[in-house]
Amino acid sequence: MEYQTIFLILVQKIKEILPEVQLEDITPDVSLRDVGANSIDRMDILVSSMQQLNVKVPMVNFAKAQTLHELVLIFQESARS
Amino acid sequence: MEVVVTGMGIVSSIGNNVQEFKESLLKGCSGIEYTSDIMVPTHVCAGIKSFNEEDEFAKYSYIGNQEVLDRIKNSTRRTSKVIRTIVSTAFEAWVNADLHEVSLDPERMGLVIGGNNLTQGYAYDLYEEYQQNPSYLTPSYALSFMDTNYVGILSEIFDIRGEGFTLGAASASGNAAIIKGMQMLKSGDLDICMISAPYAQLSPMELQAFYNVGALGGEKYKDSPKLACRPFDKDHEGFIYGEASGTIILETLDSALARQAPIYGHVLGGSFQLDANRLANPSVEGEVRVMRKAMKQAGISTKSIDYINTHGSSSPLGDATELQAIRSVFEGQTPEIWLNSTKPLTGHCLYSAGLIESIASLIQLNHDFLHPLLNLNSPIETGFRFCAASSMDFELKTVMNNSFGFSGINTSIIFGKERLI
Repeated sequence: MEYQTIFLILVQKIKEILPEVQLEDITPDVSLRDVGANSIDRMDILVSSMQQLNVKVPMVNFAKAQTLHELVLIFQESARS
Repeated sequence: MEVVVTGMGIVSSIGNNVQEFKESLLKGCSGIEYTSDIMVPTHVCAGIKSFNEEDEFAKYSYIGNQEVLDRIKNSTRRTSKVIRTIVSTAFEAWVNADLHEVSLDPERMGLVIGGNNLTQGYAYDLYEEYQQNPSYLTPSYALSFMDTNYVGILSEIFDIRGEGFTLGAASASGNAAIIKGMQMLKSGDLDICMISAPYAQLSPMELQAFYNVGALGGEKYKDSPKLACRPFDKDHEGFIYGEASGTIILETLDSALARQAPIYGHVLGGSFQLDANRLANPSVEGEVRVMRKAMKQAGISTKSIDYINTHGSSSPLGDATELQAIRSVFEGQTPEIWLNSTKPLTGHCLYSAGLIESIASLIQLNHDFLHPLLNLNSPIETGFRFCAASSMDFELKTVMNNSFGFSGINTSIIFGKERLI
């Protein structure tokens, strides 16, 4: 799956859950925490992204990801396997 | 230790704040209407229709407490209508009580949420998605399915750090929460206690079960819904479901006087008594006992009660039982005590009913009027002083609010304009 496709889905889910976040602030080098997502928001963003991407990733896999870029790579990896 | 009410807030089918609700009580407006919603088997209910929290919050933009406003914004995004209504009522009550103007010890503030099984409609809505693919169930459901979600939301917004919990007592939950709040204040542990009761977010299954068990009315008056809720009338056939959320602020008299807070009434007494009965039927003995205990706690005799806001749910057995209980308690005085029921106006708001009807009682007490008792054409009993079909001025000093629930739960609260002892 294309990197950009996954990233745009993440951006879309972030905007749905945190509508007050400015688009220009959602960049690959920031974390979900950086854009203002609390612990529950972060889980909701990841699960709704999984649903849209039609993949299933154990939540523990996301624990080490520091940035949106790293989240995209985890989704990419999962889509490949 | 005396307890007073210093703030009130409401969102209902007949008003999205206390002022609108008061106007509807005065005019006798009923929120009961036909609904095409398949959730209601009888298609008759009093739903909240025109609530917009932004309109309500905009009224308080002058308070300038940006921290609270920001917390409200954060807590109400991505939430259900019911959460937005309860936050609106809590904010209205908090501002009414002038709590935005003072800095209080958060550990001396408590919170009681009246109600149980508060989010079944939400669970039902998610179920289809869950069945299709459990992995994609929204993670926030882990918090939001719990009734205590309301405790978290309201305590965070208003920085409440004392005791806080949900109190389930079926249709008596609202009154039971007020009684428990009063007890916590009297114990000396708190100065202020917020009591909030959200409307019952039922799923179609709960309403169908009420219908199947014979408790839900509306069949007979399907074509004229405003006539469907008729407490104490020979044509009553069951309760009509209503939506309303409400909040009141209870406070010790000392705390209220010290900060010159508005006082909307004194909580003179409140009793909470069980029938030792797992079924839905009410008990004359239990209702007599709870009314007597409430008066005993208030230190008053039957002669002091001017008016009773009855449970009056339009249930044939419930109405007859309550009148029999009132007759046993008040004996020859029944022709002198005014009776009405708020339910023909608001519907039966189930868990929040006691709290909504406490607000109705306090509004009448403060403004010296009695709201109408709608649809009483042929009373099931004589010898009672039922309110008329339109509201009337009447100077009230002491009022009683009854609220009863399934599983033999009885509550009665006495509010007074002033201290009687």
